[in-house]
Amino acid sequence: MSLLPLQRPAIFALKNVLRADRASSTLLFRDCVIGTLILAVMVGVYLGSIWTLGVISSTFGFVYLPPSSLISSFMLIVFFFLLISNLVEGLGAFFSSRSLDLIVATPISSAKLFLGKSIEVAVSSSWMVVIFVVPAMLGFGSFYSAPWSFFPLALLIILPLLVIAVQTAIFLILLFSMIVPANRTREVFVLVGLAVAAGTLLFVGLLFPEGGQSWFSAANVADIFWLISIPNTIWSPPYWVGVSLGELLQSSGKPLGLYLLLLGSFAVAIMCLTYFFFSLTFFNSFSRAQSQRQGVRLNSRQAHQRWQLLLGDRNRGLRAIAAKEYRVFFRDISQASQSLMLLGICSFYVFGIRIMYAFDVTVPGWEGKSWGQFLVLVSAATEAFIVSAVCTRFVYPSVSLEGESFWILQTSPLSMRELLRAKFLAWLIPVSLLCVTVFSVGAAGIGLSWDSLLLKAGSTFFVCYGMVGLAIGLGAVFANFNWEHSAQLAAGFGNLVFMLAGVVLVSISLLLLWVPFYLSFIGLSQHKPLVWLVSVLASHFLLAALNFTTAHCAMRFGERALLRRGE
Amino acid sequence: MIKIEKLKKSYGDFVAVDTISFSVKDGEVCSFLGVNGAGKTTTLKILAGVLKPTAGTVEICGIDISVDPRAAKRAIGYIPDRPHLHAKLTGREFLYFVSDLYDLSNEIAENRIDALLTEYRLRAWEDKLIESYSHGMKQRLATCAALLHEPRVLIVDEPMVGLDPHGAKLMKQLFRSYAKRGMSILVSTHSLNIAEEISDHIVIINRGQIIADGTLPEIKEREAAQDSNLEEIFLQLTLESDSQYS
Repeated sequence: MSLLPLQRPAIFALKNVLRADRASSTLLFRDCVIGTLILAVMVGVYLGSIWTLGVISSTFGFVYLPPSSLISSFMLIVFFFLLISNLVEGLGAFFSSRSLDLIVATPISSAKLFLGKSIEVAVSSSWMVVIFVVPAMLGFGSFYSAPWSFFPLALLIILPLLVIAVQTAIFLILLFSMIVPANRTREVFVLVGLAVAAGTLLFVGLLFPEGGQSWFSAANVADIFWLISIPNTIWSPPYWVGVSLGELLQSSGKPLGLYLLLLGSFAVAIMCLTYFFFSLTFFNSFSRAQSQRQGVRLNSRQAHQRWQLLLGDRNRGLRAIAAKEYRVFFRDISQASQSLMLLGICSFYVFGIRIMYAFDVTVPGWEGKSWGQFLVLVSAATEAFIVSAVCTRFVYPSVSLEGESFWILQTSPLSMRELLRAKFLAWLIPVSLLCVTVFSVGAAGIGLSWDSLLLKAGSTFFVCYGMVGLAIGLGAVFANFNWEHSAQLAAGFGNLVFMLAGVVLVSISLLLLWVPFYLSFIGLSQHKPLVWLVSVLASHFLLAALNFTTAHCAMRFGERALLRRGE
Repeated sequence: MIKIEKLKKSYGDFVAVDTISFSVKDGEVCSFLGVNGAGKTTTLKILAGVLKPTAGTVEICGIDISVDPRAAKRAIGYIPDRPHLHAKLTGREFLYFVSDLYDLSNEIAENRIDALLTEYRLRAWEDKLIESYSHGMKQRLATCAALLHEPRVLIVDEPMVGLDPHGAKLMKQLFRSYAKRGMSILVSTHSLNIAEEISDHIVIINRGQIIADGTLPEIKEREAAQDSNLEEIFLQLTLESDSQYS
């Protein structure tokens, strides 16, 4: 226990939660319901991955696609998300955590501090792996009829990838904070993000000099597979994982032991290197981050006048909350650096959709139906993921971000209902604007007509309405005002509940949107414009009703929960 | 005016505030004294509208806070013991935020913010982020925020914690000058010499119950301790009260 002193409070807290569960049947019931939901999502991911593998394998049956290629590509995406998530968490844990002053003042060894903080970062940012990657790997195993030994070995092989993601993120944070103070790191992240986006555009432009839609119109399978094989470079840890797992599934004679050795030794090496770098630079960077706080001077009066112009003078309560939310968003390092993740997700979506649009094949089992229709479903699912990610990272923590300053709102004449409504509106506008814009770009990229684009914009707004309301409501129900650093909020238990509830809401919304397409699919509304129109209007009406009701119910629950805090 | 009637606050089996009644008149500074855990902060939080009482009523300028919390809160200024403010806002931005919460017009807000920042010696820091402020500066900024909407009742929890001698003097002057203008001020403090210096009225609470209520001469007379100072009386009263429980 004394090896990891920083983990003791978390262990005690977990014990207390379990004790409280044993003492209260309501809490136990609540946790059982949430556990069941988690299990349901994992089963959904498992079945979804088997279905996707089936579609891919039948669609590209004419080209041999080894499992290692698919796993490498999948692992590259996972690694990207893990890296960004760890960057955000790491920045908070190493430089913004409230207890750091106390910890740094104790005679704790740098090894214990480093290990403790690394574990904190890994645990809070890696639950995504457990919920999404583990069932996906089980799906791979089942699809390729893997021997039972694949499953425990897969877990063991993924573990070093987690270590690499955590340590790379910490190394980058330490490196950045050495160059600029940690409290200014967000600017570096945003610059790096923009540079990466510009670099990707340039890279794709060089690859396909014809530009525009003709990038992919050649439908040249070799070109496309070359594109897919970009991550499969020898120096990439996701590739090592992909090859190792691929070899376990279907042996192709590649040296499994060598890749495992590469993976393990790289994990150990990056950990040692990061620790060495930490012991050399951390105290200086930490101290510099504290002293740099003195330097920031802003023109508050002028900035306020701009907010007054933008937000008007009719509802000052809303203006107070909205202006504060936006200011804090742009100044909080965790919040701002998470926009990098958002940028990545949006680029991934737009480019992913365009790349997939290049394929012009018939989807097996969908007689006569083109890949384009399958693509509509895939893009809708990806969009759902983006809305969830935005709400999870930015909207859900909004109530908790009030932190110990919540007393200001409690003692003000603003009621809890008004507070939640103000937060809801403050977030609904940017989230729906962002999503409608990005999704419309994506939809235009796959050649949707103007009327379809309009419908898409409408349905996107409804889903954003529901998700933002749900995020604000559940954010209030599970509000945590005593956080160590703000990045923790997006990795908390309440956020997991929000994600699961969000998955349910989005799934039902997608189902409703799918109804008119299904009717056309089975021939009910084909060549019957009136039936098509009625089905589209009815599905959108139901979609709006579902999302409005969800948002308002969630906020009502949230309001009650906040009021109960004063009882 | 603050009027508290049979106020009670329980957390499960634990009674933090046990059926207390007292009032603070207009233009009066009332010191609310007690040992740690006596129920002072709980009472103040109920008065400020942060906590809901289990039983009893609180009236602020004749408005029952449970019936019309919005109107009651407009009449209250609250300064907590630990001034947790939004660290990512500047001092001036924070005051703009508070002025919008209290629905002050832009012009009034601008004038009052300028005046308060000058009075509390924060003009040089108004454009810096609150995270760079010292504890005393945060306390002064919280005081500015509490006074921004010109409340008729001021509730202050431990006002002198973290203040330098200049800040402490400023705070004492503030209490007296605002009381002269008719404001009711309820101050919870452990600094008995300051309580003795500024108070018109003293209330002592122990284990959730009021053990003394009146002016200092009245309490001295009741306890037959004319030659004692407030500290001696306080220690004697709280020890007596504790011995009844042990």
